[in-house]
Amino acid sequence: MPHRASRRTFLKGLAGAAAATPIVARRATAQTPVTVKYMTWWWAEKGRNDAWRGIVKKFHDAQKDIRIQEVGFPYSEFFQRVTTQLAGGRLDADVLSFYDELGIRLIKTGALAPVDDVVQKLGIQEKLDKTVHQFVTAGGKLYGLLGVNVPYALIYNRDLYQAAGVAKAPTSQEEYIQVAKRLTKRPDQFGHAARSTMPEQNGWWSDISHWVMGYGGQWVKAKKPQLTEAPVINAVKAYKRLYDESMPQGADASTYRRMAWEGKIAQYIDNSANIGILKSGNPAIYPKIFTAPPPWENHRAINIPNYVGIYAGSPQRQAAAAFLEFVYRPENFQQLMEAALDIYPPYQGAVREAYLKELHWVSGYLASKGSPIPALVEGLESNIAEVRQIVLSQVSQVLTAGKAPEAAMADAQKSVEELAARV
Amino acid sequence: MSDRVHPGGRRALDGSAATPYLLAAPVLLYVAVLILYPIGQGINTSFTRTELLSPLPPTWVGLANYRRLVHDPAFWRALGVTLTYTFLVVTATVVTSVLTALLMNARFRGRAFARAAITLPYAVPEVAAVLVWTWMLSQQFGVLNVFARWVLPVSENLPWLTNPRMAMVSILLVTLWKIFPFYSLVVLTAFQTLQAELYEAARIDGAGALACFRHITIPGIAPTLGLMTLLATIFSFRRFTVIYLLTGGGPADATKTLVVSVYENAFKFFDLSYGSTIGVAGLGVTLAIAAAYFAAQRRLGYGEV
Repeated sequence: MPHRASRRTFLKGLAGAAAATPIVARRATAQTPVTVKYMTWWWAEKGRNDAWRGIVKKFHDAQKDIRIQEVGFPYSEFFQRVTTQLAGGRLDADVLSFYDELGIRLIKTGALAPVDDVVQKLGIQEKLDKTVHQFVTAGGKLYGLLGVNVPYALIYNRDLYQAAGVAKAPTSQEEYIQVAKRLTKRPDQFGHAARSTMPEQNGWWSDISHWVMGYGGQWVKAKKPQLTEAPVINAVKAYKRLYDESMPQGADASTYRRMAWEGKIAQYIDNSANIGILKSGNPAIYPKIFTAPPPWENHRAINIPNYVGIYAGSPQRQAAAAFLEFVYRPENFQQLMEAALDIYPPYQGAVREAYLKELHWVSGYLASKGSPIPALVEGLESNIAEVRQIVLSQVSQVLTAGKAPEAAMADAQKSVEELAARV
Repeated sequence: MSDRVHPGGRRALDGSAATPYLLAAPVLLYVAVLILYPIGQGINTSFTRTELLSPLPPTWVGLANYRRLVHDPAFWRALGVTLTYTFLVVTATVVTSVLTALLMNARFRGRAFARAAITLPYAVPEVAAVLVWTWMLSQQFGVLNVFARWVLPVSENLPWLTNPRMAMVSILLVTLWKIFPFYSLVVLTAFQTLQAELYEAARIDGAGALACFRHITIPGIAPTLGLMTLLATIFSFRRFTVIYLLTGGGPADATKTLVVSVYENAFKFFDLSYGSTIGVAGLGVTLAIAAAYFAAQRRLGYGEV
């Protein structure tokens, strides 16, 4: 088919010459533009969606041959939607975003195409952040580029602190719990917010993992569950106290983030992407939002690296690569980061130092010492979902059914030990 | 239309021995391809170690998954939740649908409007309805808590979806709201087949409304109620959308039914084989219930109907 052959030839040329010849300079052809489907939950994320749309518009303005089509589901559904589509035989995407846990699964399945060519053309091999890219590197090949790395820190509303006479952000677990209680005036104001329901397991797992890390622990070490150890028990007890005393119980993330921009949440521990959400939801609250390091001595918390990659089964892989190459140019990625209020670049030079200095809220995140979630279930990385399900089912019994944390975690320990023996 | 009209094209349907098979063929094909084959695949998978999205091929493990099932407390808990949920839903559905069918069958002003209003929930798409209910049941902002504060002596908002017992009540309420119109229409149809002469004769003999209901209506609609109970049981066993979207099986696994477990194992943990094993166990329970129903039906003499 001559038409197809000419398009393929064209795309090869486009991808190959893109580094040397900016796409901006390309002239429109008479051919139908190639559509690249970009599947991400970011289309549904306030603030970040506009940032990405800005880059897509710039890409569309720069050339006429490739059009980007939005495909997306909310974050809470994304993992399931992607894996279900793949199980059905094909992913309805050419480019997709994914986080560490999903990335491990996608690479194992062979669903991602290497992006080494893109990196080479951009000349950023040596500048790439090796730590965050280790989860998307397999067999010497790179399968994704960091889209955003979201560290976690304590976010607080300065006005609500001042109104309650809180002079500075808490620096210990006990102090945080006490301050949270003081800041809570149900049902109008809450001193803490976090996820606590099974439909939001992924987010809940992040929220409670910080506490485990803060107490110096992790869920699984060298395939041995640590659930009956003091750090995990203390974390569950702290979560229970916050749940009883200071949280809008049962509120999902989008609800309590909305409450935060409405000035109803005084403090909570959440990721840096929240700042963009709060600013988009209510620009007036932005100057009142500050951050502090996670409120414990070691300042440890999880971070969630989110990547952008190319679907291996895509018929538009070259066009997808051309799009990524455009997005990851320093000037474009800087624009993206600044529009989304991101602070963690994928490679040296992708963020402006002057921009970071302008952000009044950034100090808490810069002081946070992050580890990705898979590192907390060492040896069972491929079974995170099952470990999470077992642990959170038991935590749920502590929160809602009055089960003692020690008994709950002993049951969870047994189940995870069985899982570890089975896999 | 007789064969004479289309003498050439109807030769195969002229009453020969093959005619019944030809007529049944589309249905048999449908059942074979879309029901029996997937069931067979599921049973086969339950004897293997199959990881979803894995490049490795399935390996035969014999009864290993069933041994795991027998010793898995999560399975027994899910079975218990399923049976509890099914019992509550079926009981509530039968009672509610009989009462609403009585209402719809009565003559009163605005009956047409009442019938339309009652059947409305059945017409609402399930996912959309459940999402609306999720908001209505929200502990922080839900409208149900506004009503609860009016009518109940409560000072705090009720945890409709975050307390294990209330979560079960909530999914029961939403399920009932969604499904009772269908069953009400079924019962209404059964009511309308009852002969008016029987009621007239009973009234002449001095029977009151309650006696008529007990001795004419109930026996008259009993076969329909039996079938309805069976269908409601089977549908409750396999109900997923309402439960998964409302609670995700939580809190504390209080609403995790077998179907939710199947989904979790197969699509969250990628353990397709164990998910299939749970599915096969659920199928076994459903078949046992259906067998018990048909046995009871035969014993009561409804089988000849």
